[in-house]
Amino acid sequence: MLHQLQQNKRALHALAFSAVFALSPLAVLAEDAVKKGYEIAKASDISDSGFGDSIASAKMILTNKAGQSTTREMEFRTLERTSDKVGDKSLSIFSTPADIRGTAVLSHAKIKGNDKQWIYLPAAKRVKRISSSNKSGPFVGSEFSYEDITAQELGKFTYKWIKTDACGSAKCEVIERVPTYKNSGYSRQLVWVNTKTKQSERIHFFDRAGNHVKTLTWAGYKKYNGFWRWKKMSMINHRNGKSTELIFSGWKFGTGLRDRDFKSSALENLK
Amino acid sequence: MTSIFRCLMIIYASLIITSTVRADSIDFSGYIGADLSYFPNTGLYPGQLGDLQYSLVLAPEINWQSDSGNTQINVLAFGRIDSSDTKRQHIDLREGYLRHEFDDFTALIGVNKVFWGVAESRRLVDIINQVDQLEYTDNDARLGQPMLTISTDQDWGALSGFLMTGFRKLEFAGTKGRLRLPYPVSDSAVFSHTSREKAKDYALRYYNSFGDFDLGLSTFNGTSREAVLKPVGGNSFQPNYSRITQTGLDLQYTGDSTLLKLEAITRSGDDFKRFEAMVAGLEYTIYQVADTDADLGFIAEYNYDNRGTNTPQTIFQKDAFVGGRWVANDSEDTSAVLGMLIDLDDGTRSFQGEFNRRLANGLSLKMQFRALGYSNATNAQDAFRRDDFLAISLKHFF
Repeated sequence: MLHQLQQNKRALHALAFSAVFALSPLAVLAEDAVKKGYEIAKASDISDSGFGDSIASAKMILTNKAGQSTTREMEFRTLERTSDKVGDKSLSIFSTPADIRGTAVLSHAKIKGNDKQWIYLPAAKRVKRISSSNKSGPFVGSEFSYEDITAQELGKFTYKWIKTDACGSAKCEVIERVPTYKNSGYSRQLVWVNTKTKQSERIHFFDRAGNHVKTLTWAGYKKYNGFWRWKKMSMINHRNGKSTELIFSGWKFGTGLRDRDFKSSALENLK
Repeated sequence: MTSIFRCLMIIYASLIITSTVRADSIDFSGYIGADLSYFPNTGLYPGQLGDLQYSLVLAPEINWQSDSGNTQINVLAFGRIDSSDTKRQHIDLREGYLRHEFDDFTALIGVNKVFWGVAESRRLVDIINQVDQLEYTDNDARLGQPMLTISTDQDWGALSGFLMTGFRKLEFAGTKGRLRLPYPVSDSAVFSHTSREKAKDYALRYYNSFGDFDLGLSTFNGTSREAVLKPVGGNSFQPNYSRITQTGLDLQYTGDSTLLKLEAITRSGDDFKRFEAMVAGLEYTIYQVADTDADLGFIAEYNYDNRGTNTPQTIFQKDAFVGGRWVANDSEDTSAVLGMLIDLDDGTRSFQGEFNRRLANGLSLKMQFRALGYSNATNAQDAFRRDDFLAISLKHFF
């Protein structure tokens, strides 16, 4: 309660300040920050454009507060689509735990409105269209939300440059991005973008109440076919003490994946 | 049928042998399971098993695919050994097919299972496979169906054509089994004059997704998967299968939290008057209910079926289904489903519930119950009024 009051107070302050400075040179600066933030995000997006399609294997390690961990293994397949209306098509296929082997989630990302999503349940051989509006729910019991794992399209956020900061031995631009899509669990995110590689190094996620709830870090960046890919993504949930690591291997590009491999009718024959 | 079955079993056996030789291109998986059912009430009919029924299940699966990924062989067998009902002791080839992707279409030959539809309380448009009635703890269990399939998925939608042979008759629990009819069902069946057991079945299905809508249209011409059970000599039933034509529609609207679902069919047969049936309903989900990671869904569906006399019996003439689904979204994939089906004409009420959870990597637990709250003497479910059960099943996946 106290916390919320402080939040409100802070918001009021911010409002008062913006009113005062609306006509001042600082407003121009703010506009510049928005432009700069967008440019950084765009440069990061462009650095990845043209990859065509990719396949990667991932091992997901879920660790609870007591330090006990369980693992899941999956394969991610992505088909790039260069359009400002639709995003990439992606497939996540689970191979372990063995009882969910063959379960797959297919997603056709859209910039405006909900992505189209289907799940394949191998025991019933059933393809089910599912709602993708559940952005903030956990992805397969992990600390990644659905919105953290689905395509991070440029048009899904508004941006603002915050500062230049050190990130490890490298230099990063810190940008704030605010989700423009419905049902996000976040009020904002701070993204550390490496100035050299244009890749994200870290994200701080802030919940609806403005609390820093999760931190995502990337590690082991390497260039494959001219595209930066990572070895590890680690998500730490500061609220519940749990964490999830995604360890990637076997990055492949230009594998010949076609549009028909990302149709819901293809789900039951995935191998 | 038996020759196809034997032939496929030989392929299956040889696949097992080759898998040890070329383990890298062949993938071996499956599960072994133990089931225990508890029936609190004594059976209604003489000879039925007592309060416990236990059994072992084995379901091995083999996949092979060519380096290009365009050719695939899949074999999935299923077998159950039962403590008391020898009829429930059965082996079935669920899948055993060769599939090849050509440039514009895909061909599949062999035994397969095909699922159509969107509804939760009834599988209405789904017709390719015979229901495996012996698997009373699994509503999705189907007998493998031999078929030749050609399918294509284009910008205008997905179209599949099916040519089927080797009709699969319904299988019924034996005298010792629970969830059976008052008299045993004979193994010999009667087929209507145009429909011999060896007659072929044909089916066509179109599917496409238009924005928030997913639409399926299907038509089937062949031997009915459902049978009229006619009393013979006052102490047994004989299944009668007619030749039918069924046209079906399945439609789902996917909104933010609400799914709207519709399945409808019209069926004509050479032994009965054309009838229509439908199931329509919604599923509403509250995500992260009460600030937890869990989702809570409400399901409500209305069933209607106007079939007349001399048609196979159904329990869905005018029935409402209400249910709930709780999904924990945890690392053990814990979930629970609870549902009630109520006959709006005679008041018969049945309840079903299920709880699923992974106990360890590769080991999963399922607990379920089914109970008839009230059954009207004229309702088909009345024959099972003393067959409420509680079942526990453990599966180890390899």
